Amino acid sequence: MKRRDFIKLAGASGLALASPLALPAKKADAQELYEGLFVISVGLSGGADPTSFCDPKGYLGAEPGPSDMNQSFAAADIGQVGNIRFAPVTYYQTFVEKHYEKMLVINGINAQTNGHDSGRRHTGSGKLDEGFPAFGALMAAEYGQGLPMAFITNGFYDDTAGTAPRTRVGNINAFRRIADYNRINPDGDQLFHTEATMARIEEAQRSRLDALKGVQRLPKLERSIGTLHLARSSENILARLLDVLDQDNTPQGNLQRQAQLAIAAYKAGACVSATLSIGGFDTHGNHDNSHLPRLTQAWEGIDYIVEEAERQGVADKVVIVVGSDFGRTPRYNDGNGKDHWSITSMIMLGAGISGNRTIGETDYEHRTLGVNPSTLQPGGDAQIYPGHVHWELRRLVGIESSEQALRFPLGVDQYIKLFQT
Amino acid sequence: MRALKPGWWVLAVCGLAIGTSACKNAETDDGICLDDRTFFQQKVWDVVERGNCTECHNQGGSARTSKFILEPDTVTGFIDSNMDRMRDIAAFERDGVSVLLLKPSAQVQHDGGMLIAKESEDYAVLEEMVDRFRTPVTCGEASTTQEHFDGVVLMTPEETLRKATLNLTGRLPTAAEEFRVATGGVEALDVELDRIMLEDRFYNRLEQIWNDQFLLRRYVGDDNAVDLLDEDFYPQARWYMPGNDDNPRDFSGENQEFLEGARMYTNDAVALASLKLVSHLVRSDEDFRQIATADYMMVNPYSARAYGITGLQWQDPLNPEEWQKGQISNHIHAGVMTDPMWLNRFPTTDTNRNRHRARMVYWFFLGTDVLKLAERPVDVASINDHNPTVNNPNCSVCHATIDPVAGMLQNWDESGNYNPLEEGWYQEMPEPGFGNWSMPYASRATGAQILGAQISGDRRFATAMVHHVYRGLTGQHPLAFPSDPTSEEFQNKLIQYEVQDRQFDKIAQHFIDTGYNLKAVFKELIKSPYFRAKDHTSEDPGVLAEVAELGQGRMLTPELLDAKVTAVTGMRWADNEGRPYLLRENEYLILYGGIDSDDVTVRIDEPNGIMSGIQYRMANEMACSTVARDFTQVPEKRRYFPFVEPQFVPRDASGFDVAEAQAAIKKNIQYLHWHVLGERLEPGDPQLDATYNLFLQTWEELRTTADLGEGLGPCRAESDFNGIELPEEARVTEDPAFAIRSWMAVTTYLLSDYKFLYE
Repeated sequence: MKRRDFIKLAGASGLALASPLALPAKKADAQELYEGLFVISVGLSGGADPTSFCDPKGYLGAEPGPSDMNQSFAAADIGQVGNIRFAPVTYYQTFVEKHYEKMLVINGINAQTNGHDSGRRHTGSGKLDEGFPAFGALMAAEYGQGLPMAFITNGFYDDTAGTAPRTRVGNINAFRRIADYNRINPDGDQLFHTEATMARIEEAQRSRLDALKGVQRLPKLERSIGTLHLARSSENILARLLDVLDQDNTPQGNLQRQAQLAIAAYKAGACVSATLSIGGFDTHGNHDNSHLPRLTQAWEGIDYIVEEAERQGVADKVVIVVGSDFGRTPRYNDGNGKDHWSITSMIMLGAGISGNRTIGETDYEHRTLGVNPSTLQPGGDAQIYPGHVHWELRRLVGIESSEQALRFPLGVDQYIKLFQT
Repeated sequence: MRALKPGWWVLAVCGLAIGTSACKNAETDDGICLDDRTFFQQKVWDVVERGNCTECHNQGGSARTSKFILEPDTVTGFIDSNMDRMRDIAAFERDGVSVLLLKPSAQVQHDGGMLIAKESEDYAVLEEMVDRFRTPVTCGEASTTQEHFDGVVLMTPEETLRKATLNLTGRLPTAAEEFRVATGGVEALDVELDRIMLEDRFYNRLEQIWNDQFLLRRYVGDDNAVDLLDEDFYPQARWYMPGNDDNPRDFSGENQEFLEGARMYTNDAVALASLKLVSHLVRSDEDFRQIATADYMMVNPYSARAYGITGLQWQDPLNPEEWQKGQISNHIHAGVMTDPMWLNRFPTTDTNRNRHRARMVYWFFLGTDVLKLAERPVDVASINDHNPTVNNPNCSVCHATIDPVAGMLQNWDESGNYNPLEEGWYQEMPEPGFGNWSMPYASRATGAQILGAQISGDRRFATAMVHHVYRGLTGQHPLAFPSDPTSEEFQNKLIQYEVQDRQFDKIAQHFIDTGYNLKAVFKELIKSPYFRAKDHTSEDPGVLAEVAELGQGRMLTPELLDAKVTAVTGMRWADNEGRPYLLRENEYLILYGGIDSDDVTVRIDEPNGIMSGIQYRMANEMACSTVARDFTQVPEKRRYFPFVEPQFVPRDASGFDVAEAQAAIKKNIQYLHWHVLGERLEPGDPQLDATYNLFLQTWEELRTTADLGEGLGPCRAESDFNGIELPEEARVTEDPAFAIRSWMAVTTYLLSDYKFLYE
């Protein structure tokens, strides 16, 4: 089947009606396979500590003391590749060494909150206030009308504010079982019914839906029957997705599995944006022993995203955005933990991002030093907020002036050119 | 628009009860009777909207100090409250002319200038409304409501019973229940619903419905709830922990099993206290206003210890299902509003100052989405006032409503503790209060309790509860007042809104009359056309467009489908360890449109290709696991096949019809259409023929397929429906006649049918 035919069927499946919000189709010709930029947002949920990876602050003396920012590494051991500095702990170091030429690190971002929900909202939508859609939803609203999995999300911040439906993914085995619903075991050969019988059942179902629709007069019931009819009239999108998916090599790690599926969905032409999530960063106690291993898991997962995008031949279309709720307090509390701190960092890499750059600085106690909005040098009057990053993201994917984007104006009034030199 | 036709009742009312003047006004040029409320809604409100009266005359608008404050149409009950306010204003006159006419036409000083010319049609509408206030007009018992439902085909009482029983308890009605309702009609249905609402399953469903609102199941599991209890306030929160500070998760040592259980029971009881309050109030037929006023919370023996509540007498101090009313010391209880978990679920911050909670109070208890008060775009650039939330109309349109209520909750900190502010409520915020009422300073310690009494005494409380139950039962939202008068559908939508508003208002009044017994709301909604409409007698598209809001066609939620699969097939759709696929987040709960009460809080109720795959998977797996198993039972105990045996086939080996077997198969198919789909079909119905053809064609295919074999493979039955191994002779492992596999096809077909998956 030709790609165009496939997506026409997918669009006709009623998947565009999946939103409880009953959005109007934005464009009449919106049922094309999506081949534009694919933005993957990775949320480090709970409040990741930038001073332990991308905005490193080590202990100052020969041994760590109670007033030091971090006790797991010395300031003298902080490393740098190109223009990217890194803490010499966790997998982040390896990641930087592999990908620094693609990386843009923005430090000293003011999240303006210490609350988890509001912090995720600010990082995920570019606005501190309630009621704003996640960037992925906004992008899906523009480019994903009619696509079955336009906005894939696994949490962090994925409020859609009525802009686009969202699809949750997780267990690939769960997908495999429903992609091939007539196979008893996804890995086996046995079928519930012969192929001819299954086809007969489905055909009988379609006839029955037609018959029910024909005798039903209440418009709401007629429409409801129609949506099921359409959902069953399409080619099995999951079968196509699983064709793309390398099922023999299911990766270890939850973030990796989320990413594998999201990239496959994009490659299948069914997905525009994805929000992936990894939690465990809210380390009010025992920070180093809990937080640093979690950072390693996160950066191994993000490394997987980069590599999987290359393996699938879509690296030139993928943009990765990494952020968190906020940062963590300078120094440790009485339980060796770190509490909430409103300064954070974001890291971008991929299509349209000029790499090997670091913007923004903080002092030793992780207070932002401000930035010159023109030169991007530290010490200026401006502060960088998540809204500035989202302004650039909207420009990058071409939705800056879309109807939906204009409905949700960002909370910053000054454009700062961050992504390109 | 279909309008009311003048009937005898118009003349009777006009002639006998009201008088000549009212009679003349009661009819429009089309001879249609409009009572005062309908006239206000259809005619006057349109004038108010076009005149932009609400832009200034709202609680936070520039005319907020005037006596004429209107509620926007997004507020529940806005028609009645605005009519009351307009009636009050209309009573003021100058030289015999009502202020309601003088002001907008600028015949007297009006800060908003002239909005309605004296000679205009709009003026005439207001003039008529003023007349109606002096001489009310009613249209008798017959009404728009009655006319609206003409031609709507309702489910029979028996069909309604089936749908309600599945919805409320997840089981099928018994034969006795069906008989009683089939013979006793709607009156008998009422009695059966009373019985159904005594079952424990109903309370599970009730808690599920309210969790969709409160989202408290977010804290079920692990220590998710207990972690939120501040140990400064609740030093016994982890009463079950051995004193090992270095390893607080260590459950080793003595009583390990008990301690692990205690940890789970404590956490989940803390998490679900407010849902248990809902259950308690309904189960014991208590005044449901206590949802906002109860001076206690529900605790079990475990959460009582966590909260430090002593002095309760337990029948079984180890039973986590034993619930009692308890009071936390130094804590002012006001129903769910003061439940620490509810307060955490809807948190505040130093800058939010309880506004979020106030917003939720409006939503839960008054049916009003405060954010919709200001749906027009806010001009951020215009906000340069000092304290804009009070002074700038862009902000005060909402803040004037929520800030006083936020002040009533001032004693509750971000962790949900009763922790009064040392320096009192913020001076720059509006005074704590509700509506036009301000809380006396001396009452500040009990602000939440006073708020509970205020909101539960508001008429909107009853309407809000009707709305919540309606959402839970049907998955649909109450209709909103249509916002676009230029739309072609406006008139139809207006009528639909008006009829539903009246119906729900009537149910709300019944709720009040029964002493706020929530069961009354369930019963009335179930008996209403909003639950029972299934078809229409007309084929006229114009007539059908007028009832576009009727009929549900809701795809079952994962929870409802899980229960229905179990009820109809006798087994749950679950993995080898008994974990239900449809209720697990890692499987199909979210993919099938469910919520996790955390990140995913809005249900998806229309299908997509993924959901369609889940439906077929379920149907195939359940057919595989239950069809052969059903044949292991004696016919009278079978769920699917009381009229056939595995050797019943349509034709003999020579290809000749076996009439007896064919008749039995058809009879069984007829039974299955009722058992699985709830449709009573007469022999010869094309749908029965279609199902029979599926059976026949499948059987022909299978018996003529080479190398198919007789074994049923993974679909064989070696154990009963409870998983207990069957003796060798009772097992069904082979299908030499190919009938069992043909019945599997039929079962898949029926379990994946619209009428099974939807309600």
